[in-house]
Amino acid sequence: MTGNRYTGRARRPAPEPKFGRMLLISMALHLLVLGLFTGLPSSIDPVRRPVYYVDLTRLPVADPQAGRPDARPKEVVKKPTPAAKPATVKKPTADVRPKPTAKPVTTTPPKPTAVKPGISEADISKKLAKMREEQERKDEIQALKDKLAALAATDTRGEDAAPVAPLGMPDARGDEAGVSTEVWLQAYLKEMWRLSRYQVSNLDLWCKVQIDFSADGRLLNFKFLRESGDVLFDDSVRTAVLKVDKLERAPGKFWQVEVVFNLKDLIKK
Amino acid sequence: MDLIAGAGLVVKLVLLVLVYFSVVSWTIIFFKLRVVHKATRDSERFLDFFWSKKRFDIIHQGVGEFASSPLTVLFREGYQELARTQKRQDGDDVIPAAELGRVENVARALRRATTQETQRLEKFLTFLATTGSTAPFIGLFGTVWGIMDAFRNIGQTGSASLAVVAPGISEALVATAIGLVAAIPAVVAYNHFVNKVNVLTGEMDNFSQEFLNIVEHMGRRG
Repeated sequence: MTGNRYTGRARRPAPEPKFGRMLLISMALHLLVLGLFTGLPSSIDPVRRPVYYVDLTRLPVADPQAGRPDARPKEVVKKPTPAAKPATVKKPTADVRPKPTAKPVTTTPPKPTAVKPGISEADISKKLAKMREEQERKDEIQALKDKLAALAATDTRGEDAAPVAPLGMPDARGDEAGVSTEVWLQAYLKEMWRLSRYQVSNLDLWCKVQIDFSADGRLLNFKFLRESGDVLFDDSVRTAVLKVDKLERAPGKFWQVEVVFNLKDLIKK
Repeated sequence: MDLIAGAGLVVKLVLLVLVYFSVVSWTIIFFKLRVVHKATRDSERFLDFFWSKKRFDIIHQGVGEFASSPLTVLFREGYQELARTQKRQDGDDVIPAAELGRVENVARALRRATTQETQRLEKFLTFLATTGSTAPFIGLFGTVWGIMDAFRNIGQTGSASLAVVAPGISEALVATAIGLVAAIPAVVAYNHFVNKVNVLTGEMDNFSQEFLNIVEHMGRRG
């Protein structure tokens, strides 16, 4: 009951909803809109893959070794390869070891004439020591390689890891210095992709494209598995995909790959 | 969000003012939606109730159910005024001119109640009108300031490429965008509520006339 200042009598006003409650609703609505435009979409972004910036001068290989695709060019792992090449020598070491011991015992009578001058016990022990040394070295190199592979597989994504890691793929087990065709393709597409952040209204745009390549690496077809919803964004992706006329390395069979185009990754480039 | 973060201090202040306008506008919109909706609904129900009863005292006992309707306030004011004048006439000798005076008193009470209820229904609507008319200009001010800032930066860097010009202008235009975002709902809501209030005011006028007619008939019958 409030007073009527003209009559001096009490007047019962019509009940009104609480203004404070409406203010809370309004603020919640504004926060929701703000969240929709900024934070929420990125937090529910389903595709979060490690991003590697591959130097396109490094060609894709069929069987990449363990390492990082964004490693520095100096690290083109030539040193490990010579160490790995003795793998051809490896066989003799593994097989020869029993042989020298076997030779003196089993074939002593017929061979002494031919081998006698070179093969003394000292020589044999020297050779054995050398072989053992070599084997130890190989073991060490192998252990280091395993360690590097493990490091690469941990997906550090930091800039510091790249210079020390060999050129390769984190989960690869091959022996060729280079990147996989998929990573190369992603880097190439990114290089070909032209879109300014100011052309689009939203930074949380992404789309997924399925691309088909023939056995000799020619682009056959592509289709959007998920469109971004922004015409400019989708057009720029279409243009980028069409620029991949032919792959750098023929896959050898029909190859279908799915590539995610994320605007935030492009901006980081 | 990046655009807002990259804007200058003046533009940020402008954005803050616009957000304040928007928040308060929407608060008023929600508030008025409820008030007007309840007033319209209760008025319809009250009129049905009013015409279904024959006696004012019975109606007076039941008006509590339609508390949100401005018509109940009118009825209550008119009825109380009528009761007071009747009490006075019962005490004194019946004066021939008193009948006219009684109707006049009730009419004045009804007019006063109508004015008060209209004021209550129109409360806060001026803020919506202010938001609708000023928010775009405030936003425009932010944009102009932002563009001035951007051009000064362009002058300092000495480059006029799109990469240099576009970000500054884009950041500046956010202010106009938010100004419009605040103003458009405010203007739409203002027009809607003014229309609703006009309808309710018309109903109050009609009800006043009907009430006075009844009072006059009652007087003639004695």
